[in-house]
Amino acid sequence: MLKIENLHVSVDGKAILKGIDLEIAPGEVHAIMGPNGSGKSTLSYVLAGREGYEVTKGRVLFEGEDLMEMDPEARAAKGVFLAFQYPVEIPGVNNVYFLKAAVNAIRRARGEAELDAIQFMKYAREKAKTVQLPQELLKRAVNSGFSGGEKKRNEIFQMAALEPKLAILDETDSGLDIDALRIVSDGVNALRSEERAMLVITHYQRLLDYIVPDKVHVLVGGKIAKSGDKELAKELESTGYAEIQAQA
Amino acid sequence: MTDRVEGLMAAVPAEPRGEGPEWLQGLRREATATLRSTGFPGKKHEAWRFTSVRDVVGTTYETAEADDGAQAFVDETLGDDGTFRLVLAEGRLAAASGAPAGVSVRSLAEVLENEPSLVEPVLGKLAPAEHFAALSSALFEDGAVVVFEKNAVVETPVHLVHVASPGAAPKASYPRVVVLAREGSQATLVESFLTRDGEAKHLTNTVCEVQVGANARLDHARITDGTPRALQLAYLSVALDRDAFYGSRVVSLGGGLTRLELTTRFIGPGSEAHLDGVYHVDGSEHVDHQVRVEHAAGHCTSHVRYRGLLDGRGHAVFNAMGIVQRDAQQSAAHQENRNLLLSDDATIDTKPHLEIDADDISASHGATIGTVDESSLFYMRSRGVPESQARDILTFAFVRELIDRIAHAPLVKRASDRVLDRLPHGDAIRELTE
Repeated sequence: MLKIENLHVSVDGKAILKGIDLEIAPGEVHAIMGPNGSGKSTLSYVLAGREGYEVTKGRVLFEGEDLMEMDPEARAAKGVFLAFQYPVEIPGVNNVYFLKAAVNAIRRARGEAELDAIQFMKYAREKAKTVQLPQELLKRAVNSGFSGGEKKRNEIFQMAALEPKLAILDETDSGLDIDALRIVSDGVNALRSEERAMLVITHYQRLLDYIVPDKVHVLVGGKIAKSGDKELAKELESTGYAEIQAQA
Repeated sequence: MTDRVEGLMAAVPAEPRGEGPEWLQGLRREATATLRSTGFPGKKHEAWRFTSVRDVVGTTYETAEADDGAQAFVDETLGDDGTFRLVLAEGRLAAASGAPAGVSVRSLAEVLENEPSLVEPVLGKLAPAEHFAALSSALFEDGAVVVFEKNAVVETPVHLVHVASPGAAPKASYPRVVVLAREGSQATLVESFLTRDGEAKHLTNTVCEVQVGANARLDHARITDGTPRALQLAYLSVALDRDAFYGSRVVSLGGGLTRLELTTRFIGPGSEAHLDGVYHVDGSEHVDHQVRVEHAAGHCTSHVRYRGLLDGRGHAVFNAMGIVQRDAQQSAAHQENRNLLLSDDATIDTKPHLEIDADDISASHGATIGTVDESSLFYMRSRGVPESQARDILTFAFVRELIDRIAHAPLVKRASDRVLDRLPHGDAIRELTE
């Protein structure tokens, strides 16, 4: 589904990603771990299409198409979703209206009929239930005044509503207490399916106790230094990144 | 001075109007003398640097007569908005019956005839004594007096609708409003300014003086719909006694010239004022807000938050002046002005500033001019919302956030609708947000 080949990315002329190769098949969950500054968030942003990230070499194919050629909204329409590390607060924009605009834009792009206000409200309520998002947050401005846990839950709620093919979770666990982590993980696990791939980016091994990955990659200095199965995460937990960093 | 006076000054009589109590005659005499000696402001006056009144002053106006069709026009334009509504056609209050309990609304002319002592402590005492405020004091004939009685809690908003009816030749009107929110009262006041279609220029020169009593809470929305022919100059002068709250929600939508000089003065400790404003200019419209806050007593808090959308060749001016006097310790004075530039040809002159003589206070001021927030834009696009639609939604949200603070839901809707009517893709945004 996703094929990253020798990806090099610079920000402000500074090389951040220095040759990433990664292939994710439908139904798989891959975890990317790594120390601060290793390029984890750069990878998530470049996949979602944020401006300011220059691909200097390599390519990214999503279902055979060149992802880097597409606008962010076109990527979303193809089924790419990024759960932000720091979800953006948008005062003045109602959460449910925003999501309706997003869902209907994607439905339009897929040639499906748009949902009207009543249909959408019903849909949103159901999705909110699956991720245990309090109903009152639907009517508030997007992420505005939400707690850290509420923001992350709102990301997973949006993911549930948009039903992406590839979900990228950028440090969705950072800053969460154990209860919030469980709720967010349950929401993510409920969305695992044969057709859906996930790329889980995290700083902490703890998340992978809740969202168990098929593969684990360690990102160091803009390159994947090591790949393995879920046991690799446990190994890292005991040895830390220092050893891999030294090898890299 | 020549024998033949032209332009706006022609409206000022050599001898002031003679009727009424002595204090009123004194006010009129002084206003007339001030006008005759200092005239109208020019570019060298700091508060008028970016707003030219040459056209306003150079025009000779007829005094506007009340328009019989005003009430029907208002009913048609505003529909049922759940307020206690009164129409001031060219500054004249027609009928005022059926006010909610705890409120009285009377014609200013009637009060001056029968009970002038009611307004004596306020009329001409809060507003500035020069320029167009002096013009009002010299010339006003009528207007409204709104009294919220002591400890009255008034749920239904009181709504004064000012209607200007331009004609074939330039006309001017001078609505004058006095608001007395007595101790412990709690109420919402709304003023709407509507201009009917018409050929010639129309000057509406408004002065509103508001006294907020001790421990009273007054929320005051002020919605101005501009038209190209409408020249709307307004003064809103507010004095807050101790432990009072005043919320000002200004919405100024275009117009040939729309200017508001809002002065809020804390005269007792423990009070708070939230001064919010939203404006939009397009075409060759000109909107000017001058917001002055005077902390003359300690332990008071002021928040000035103005936001503007600037399109076409529109010109907006924002000037905030926060004054904290030496004895006004424990004051908090905050000013923020943010602008979204929607066109390369629009102009904003913004200058929030503070003058502080006390040392134990908190204060901040800032102004921004920019385009929609890039991180919000990317967030929305990453969820599939097309860029142009995301920009539209964010543009509206920028002002909607402040409009939402208006105390009465039907007014939030009306103000939002009027903004949307003026925005490109407004209908599409409306669809998304309904």
